[in-house]
Amino acid sequence: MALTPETLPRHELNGLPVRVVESDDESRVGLEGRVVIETTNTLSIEVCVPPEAERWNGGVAADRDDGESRVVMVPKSGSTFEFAITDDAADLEKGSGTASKLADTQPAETERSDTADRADGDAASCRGDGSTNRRRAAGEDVAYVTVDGSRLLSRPARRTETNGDSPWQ
Amino acid sequence: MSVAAERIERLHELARAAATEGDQERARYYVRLARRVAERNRLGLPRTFRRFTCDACDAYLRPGRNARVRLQDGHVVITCDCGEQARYPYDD
Ligand SMILES: [Zn+2]
Repeated sequence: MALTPETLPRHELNGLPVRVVESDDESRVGLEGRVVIETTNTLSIEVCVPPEAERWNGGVAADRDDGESRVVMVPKSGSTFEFAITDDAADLEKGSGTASKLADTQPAETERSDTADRADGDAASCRGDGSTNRRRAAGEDVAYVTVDGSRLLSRPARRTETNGDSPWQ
Repeated sequence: MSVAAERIERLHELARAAATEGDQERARYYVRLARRVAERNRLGLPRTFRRFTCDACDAYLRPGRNARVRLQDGHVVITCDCGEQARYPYDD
């Protein structure tokens, strides 16, 4: 079971490029970076100020403390997240730079309407809205998955389990 | 491969990356999470994961940086910075 839009709520979120699409707190909207720490109620996002690729290739230990990147903790509830996923983790690192640019303001509207349509059709069975947007970004397939944060409310290690009456199946 | 097994692989990569960047605490967080995922889903951990993590303090071991590796008669001894020793056999 690869990391697909369907499995994302049960899959590993740490390390994925993410963008805050909607939030109760206006100041968090548009925040984008990489998930570094997940807890039951929060996601900590590492926001990079300089081009990301440089930091990944450089691998200088002290980089993180220079104020070049900071870690912001965002509560899961009350926020909507957009994760960028690719087939390959290696592509993920390279693609994130271009992906984030393409995923600027404009796609958000299309996605919201997309989500609304889906919600009407599915009625109450699938309240969590996981909508997908597949686009070609610089020759590689990047899928943007929009997930309501309330769907991710769970202990990080327990999200994967499928038995029982759980909302993240 | 199940989602849980894939999560463990990803966490292994993340732990290695964090340790390489020098962030041992974050590497520990990933190692602990991978262990928890494995036990919740009743999976074993991959051999490379077991060999490169400390059983006592969950550090991601990087030989030469935070781990000492010594070959003895028929087995390897890895000593973590915390003092924990792990032994496993090797074939010539
Ligand atoms: Zn140790």
